[in-house]
Amino acid sequence: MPFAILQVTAAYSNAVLVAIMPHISDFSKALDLPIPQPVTVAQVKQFGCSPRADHVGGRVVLTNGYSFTFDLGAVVLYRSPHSYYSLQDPNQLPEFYGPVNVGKDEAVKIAREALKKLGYTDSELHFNQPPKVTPPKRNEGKQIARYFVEWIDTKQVSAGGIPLERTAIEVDASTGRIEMLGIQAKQSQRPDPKIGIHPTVLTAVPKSELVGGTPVFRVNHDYAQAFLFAIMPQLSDFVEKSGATVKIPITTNDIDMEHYDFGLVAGNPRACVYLKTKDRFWYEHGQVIEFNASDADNWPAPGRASEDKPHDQFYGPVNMAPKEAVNLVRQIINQLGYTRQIPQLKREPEIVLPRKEGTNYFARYFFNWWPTDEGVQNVSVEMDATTKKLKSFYINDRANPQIWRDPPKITLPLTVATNVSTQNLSGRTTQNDNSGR
Amino acid sequence: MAMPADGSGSAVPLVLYPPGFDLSNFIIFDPTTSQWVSGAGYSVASTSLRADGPGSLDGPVPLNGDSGSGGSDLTTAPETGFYQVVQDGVQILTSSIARLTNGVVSGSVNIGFEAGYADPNNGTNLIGTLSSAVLLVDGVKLAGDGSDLSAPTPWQFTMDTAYLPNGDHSVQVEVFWFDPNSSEDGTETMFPSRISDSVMITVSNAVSYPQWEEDIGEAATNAAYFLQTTCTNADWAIDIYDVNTNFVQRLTGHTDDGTIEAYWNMVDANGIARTNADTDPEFSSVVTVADPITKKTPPKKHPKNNWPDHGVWTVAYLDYFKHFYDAGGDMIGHINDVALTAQKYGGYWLYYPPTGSTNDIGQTYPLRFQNPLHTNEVVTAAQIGLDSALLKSFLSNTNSRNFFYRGHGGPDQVGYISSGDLAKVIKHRYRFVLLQACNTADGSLDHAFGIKGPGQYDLPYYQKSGVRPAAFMGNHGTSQFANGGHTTIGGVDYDGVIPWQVPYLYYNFLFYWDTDLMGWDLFSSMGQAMLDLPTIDGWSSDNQPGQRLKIYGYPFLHIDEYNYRTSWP
Repeated sequence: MPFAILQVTAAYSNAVLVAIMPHISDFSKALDLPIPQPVTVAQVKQFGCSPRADHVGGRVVLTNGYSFTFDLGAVVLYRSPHSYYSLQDPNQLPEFYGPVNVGKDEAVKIAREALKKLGYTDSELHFNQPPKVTPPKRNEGKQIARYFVEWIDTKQVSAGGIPLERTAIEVDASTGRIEMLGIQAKQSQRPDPKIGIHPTVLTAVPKSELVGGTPVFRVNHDYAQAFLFAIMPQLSDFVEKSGATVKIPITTNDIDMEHYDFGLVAGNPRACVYLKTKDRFWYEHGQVIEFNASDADNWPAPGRASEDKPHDQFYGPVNMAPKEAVNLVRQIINQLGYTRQIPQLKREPEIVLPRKEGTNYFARYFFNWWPTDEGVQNVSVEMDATTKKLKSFYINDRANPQIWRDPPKITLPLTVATNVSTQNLSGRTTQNDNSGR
Repeated sequence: MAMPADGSGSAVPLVLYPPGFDLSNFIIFDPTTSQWVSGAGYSVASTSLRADGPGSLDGPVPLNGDSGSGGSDLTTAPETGFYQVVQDGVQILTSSIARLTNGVVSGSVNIGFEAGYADPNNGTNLIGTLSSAVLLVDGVKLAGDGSDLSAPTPWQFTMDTAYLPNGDHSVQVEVFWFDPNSSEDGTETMFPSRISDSVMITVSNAVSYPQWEEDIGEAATNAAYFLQTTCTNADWAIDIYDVNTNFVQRLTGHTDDGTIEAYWNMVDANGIARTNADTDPEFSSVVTVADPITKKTPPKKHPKNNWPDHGVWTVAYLDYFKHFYDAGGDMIGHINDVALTAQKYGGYWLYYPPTGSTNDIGQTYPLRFQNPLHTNEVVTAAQIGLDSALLKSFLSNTNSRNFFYRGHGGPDQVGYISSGDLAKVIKHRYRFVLLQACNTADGSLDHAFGIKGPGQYDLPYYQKSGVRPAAFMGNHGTSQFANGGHTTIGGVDYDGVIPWQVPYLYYNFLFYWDTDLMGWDLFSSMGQAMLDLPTIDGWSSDNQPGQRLKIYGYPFLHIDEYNYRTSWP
């Protein structure tokens, strides 16, 4: 979930600083840093307090230039003024020239020992694995006496080559002292310190007004009702062709009338239909272009966008291999008639496989079809890997006018609601009109 | 159809003749007039690959003439006319493959390719306009190269193999099409790409420069030459020339291991300092090793030494996401957060017209955008031109040294501005550039801002070269920002939904990077920003926010590091 922002007052900032100083003192002691013990508030030159409720802490800079970033219950970043990998001024590079008295293996051992002294375990930071070691570099014919030891979780490196989980330690090759230590890992999180002051939680991060969207024009009730009755056979037809787990034929008794939503968007009729079972259909351009089963990950509540859902409700065995799943989805798309209309659907989709979470599987397949190798999403499908049933289907009708079909003709008069203010999320008020729409 | 004017042969389809074929001695059938006309002054139509309708493809094109541009209607069936048949996809020409794989290659080699992009709806028409191409070597774009797509087909790169270390390398061509209709369903691209099969080559040069630094140090007291030679015990000399090819200075030395590292103090042979970038904007050089091996190196640019007291941030975004539902307004919110953070570290430049303003001088916040799915909201070319001009005026100001942009993009494109246009107006180096748009790490945008990609460099490198550390961030490939699916919220219809993780990546990033808060470096800040975000269901791991971002240059940059005049050298 998105984080909340705290109103950082002087009192809160001081309380956080007081709460984290013992951790900084302990950290310094564990690494035998050349800092008078205990490290107290009196030695603090600067403190930047985190305003985030999910990150209690901040960055402390001592008067002697040492800096400590406290986050997620621990000191996660330490830099000494003698850290080459934190160096701000290249004119100081000669200060880092020195003899290499510490061998590579010893440097790795020093780094490992430091992590152990700080209370971390192999399972948290994987430092039992072989690290990546950058040896002392040569510059101007001299050695920069620093090792850089890194444990990078290779499964957690972005496509662009940026590591997400990484432990990095800089070791002075002359003295064996640790000059920088950074831990970015979820597993190493410790409990937040108790803060006696509870600041005001701002509603959220600073927001700007929403803009955009297209107003929906409401129409007279009778017309909307007639439209619903007219499209119900198409809803049933979609269910039959897609194999969705919905009882057919769909009748008026199955409809959640309270949440039936019909309107005109840019002059085109579109309808959002919820069944009493909470299954949802979106009808536009003469067809069902979106379906979400009530137990779909992509299911949106009425009047809302789809939101994050707890994954445990989707846990289950994976009874379907990717190939079988793709074939099933292709079959559905073919039965709905889109393969012929959008030939690029013959290409391989992007497949998002069921994901293992702990000992469970988030048992959903997701398929995304793009009309080019990379680009516009034409179709997205969510399949239940346990039951082998369709859970969500979406076809991008707005980007594919060739699939448009004629909506049913309604013989009743169409009256667009007048004097209805549609509150545009920009804060501007759009007056609907009935000027010939 | 074409046939010899002297009647010596029968009519055959024009496509049988190669592009650029001189038709002076032929008569050709012009389908637009149904007349046979003299072929003098005509050539076979080149594959412009424009989707401007059949008009731009079907007729003979006057030599050096404009192929014209008709209205775009991809659903119209193609008319009878002249077409060059090109395979769908990208292929390095067979003749080039033969040259590349016939033993070792050295010096400059031409790599020809052809590219076609069949519209999958009908399998015949071409989608979009081929906008750019890059040469990938070992999966990474080759530094210092590009492709001139205005050249007659077949297109080709002229690759200087001396940019590569000697040894084996794979070579591919990646091309990008401009498809204005492809950008409005949750991606930030209008530039779908295709990549050719790879070709393995073996490179061998007596002198090479895989670590070539294209700039002279900022203080203009140092020009660094990093070269490699196959000679392991040899004297070397580097002769430096000015833009008028006048001899300037000679550097000499000896190498025992094939490494040549030389530094010129910018004083010429007459003892005169050549530190004025206006009179000496560039220097060329020729290296000689174990005489007589000589090699002309690429030129070195001479940037002005005019860093401001404190570098300003230009912040801009394209108005492309307003038809997608964004529950918390965080798409604008996170861009505002960039500006608010920049306020502490040099200040920011952006412009939005005040309420009620009628004097349109352009705007950058947002840059106006013609949404192809909402053509009722007309944005004129004049408006786009004003906005682009205003953004370029910000970026070209010497005080602007940092740039954040969110919007559509491409390998050589930021919104509606090409990297070529940027390079023309930006005469100074940037310290930090982050382009949150598709493919922005795949072309020449890093170089347009004076930041050398695609590699990463450590501090000694910058110290030796005298070039101020700087970092460029852009996306390798497509960047997704929204889920498809229609939504009505509060009586407003949206084309899709933006997952909150998309903007929150940047809230996180700034939180970690800001030295007033967590104080991590660039590399770790973006890593943690990604780590903090829960996965967006239904998106592949590569499509999760931030996953395609690449960092070129100095990855350990801090948020305000080297941003002052006094902080370098």
